[in-house]
Amino acid sequence: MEATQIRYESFKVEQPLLIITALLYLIAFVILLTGARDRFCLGVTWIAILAHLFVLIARSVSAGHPPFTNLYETMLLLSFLVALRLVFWRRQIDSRHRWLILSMILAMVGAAILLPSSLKVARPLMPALNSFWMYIHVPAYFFGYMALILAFIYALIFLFQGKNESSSEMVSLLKKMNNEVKIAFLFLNIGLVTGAIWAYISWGNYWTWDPKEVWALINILTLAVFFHLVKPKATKKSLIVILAFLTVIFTYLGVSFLLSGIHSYA
Amino acid sequence: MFGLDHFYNSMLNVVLWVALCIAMLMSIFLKGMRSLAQKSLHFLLVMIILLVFYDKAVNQRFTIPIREGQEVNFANFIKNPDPVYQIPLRLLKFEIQMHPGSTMPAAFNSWLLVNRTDMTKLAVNKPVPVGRYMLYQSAYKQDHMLEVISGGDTSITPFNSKITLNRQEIFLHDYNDSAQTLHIEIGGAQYQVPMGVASIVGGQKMQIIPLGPKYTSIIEVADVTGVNILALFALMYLVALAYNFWWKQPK
Repeated sequence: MEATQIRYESFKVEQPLLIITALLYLIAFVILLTGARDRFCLGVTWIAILAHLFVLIARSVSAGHPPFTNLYETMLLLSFLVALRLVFWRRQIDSRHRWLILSMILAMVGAAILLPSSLKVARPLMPALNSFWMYIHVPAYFFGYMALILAFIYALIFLFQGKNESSSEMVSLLKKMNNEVKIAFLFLNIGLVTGAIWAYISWGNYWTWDPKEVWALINILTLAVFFHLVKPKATKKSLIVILAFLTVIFTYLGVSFLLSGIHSYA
Repeated sequence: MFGLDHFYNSMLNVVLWVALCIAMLMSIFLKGMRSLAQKSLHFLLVMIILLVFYDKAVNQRFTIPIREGQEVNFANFIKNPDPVYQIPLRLLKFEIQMHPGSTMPAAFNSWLLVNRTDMTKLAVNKPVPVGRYMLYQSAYKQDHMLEVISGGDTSITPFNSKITLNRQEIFLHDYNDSAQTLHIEIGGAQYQVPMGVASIVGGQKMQIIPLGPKYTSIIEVADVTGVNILALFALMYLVALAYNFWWKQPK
């Protein structure tokens, strides 16, 4: 079979497989809400992740590159990373809060399905993107986003339920939030540094005040406030995490649609 | 956007970064931080910001456009050039590969003859060093070229350009496709000159011959002094960050 034929076949299976993936996540979500056995939910989530993996593979084959280069592809990647986190570090996440994470995954997969087809078209890579650094820069950011999604969920739980900061349940929740923020902060920094090195190798300039770069820096500076609070009250910390999450949403979606720059393709 | 382009190059932006550096240095040296790991992390950040200042203020950046077959002198693009940079650069060939069934280039590169002796391939993501400068394959453009012959003098040039032949400035404007003539301007007078045919223009015999398309390679050049140290500090900063978070918990 020729390469173009393989690409076309992959493209044909990608969308139906994505709908099946979304349905499987939905089933896992319903099982979780009905309070059925945890094992059932886990089993269905695993099958959904497997289907999700096949979607990513089909996309990579049809596009001819890893699913890192546009909104549709990165939405699939981000939801996949969050799903992996949900099953591999299951014990870290309280069973009462797993529905929140599953609903985030469902929202992202649903949004990927509903995106207009013009945003789903696989476009060939421009030469500057064809680099080893893409395999570090993009996954680092999305690993950071994944951790920040979890921190955001913990922050929301704390703000809605956290009457007593010193209760053992809230202490454990805040510890988890702190850990996720640290992971997010480190990976956002790795993304920024590797992006600068890559830009330097491609264009001879590591920083151009491009809107995406500026907002990536704003994400980091917002999260840096988290570590520099003089009296680190949990409510303040949670609010900063929510603010950082909103700046990340703007960096990810707002900058791509509202501002133009060297990252416009993303 | 929102007038921020001015802010990025403004003194206010510089002042804010300097203030951040001073705040970090004060917290390092005035017992704001106790842990050596935290001090190192913030010191590295200060060094990174200072190196960025140095690079932006001192290191030169410029663009060299070279047409296929053209030779340029590298020193002509440098402010206050060192004599060692009197290096001729000639673009021997520009290669471009397209993605199948698309107008998007998959790769493009320039074959450069440096100093009339060393042939080197300059490709995207594969910069080439020239002394303390680095050449980057940035972009390209394609121009349809013309050969203009007048009074024994010849010039090869793209459309919409200005040339000097026999000490006269000639502006080459648009090509009229239906009449197959080129609109040119000499000393304020306008002429329509037929392509490929010798004709009298402004009292002089002139012939304009279309030569077909030629590529111009756009090469970005940057002085890279200190940039390797900057990259090293940035990587050290990432290690220090991980160390601060997970190996050495501040008390």
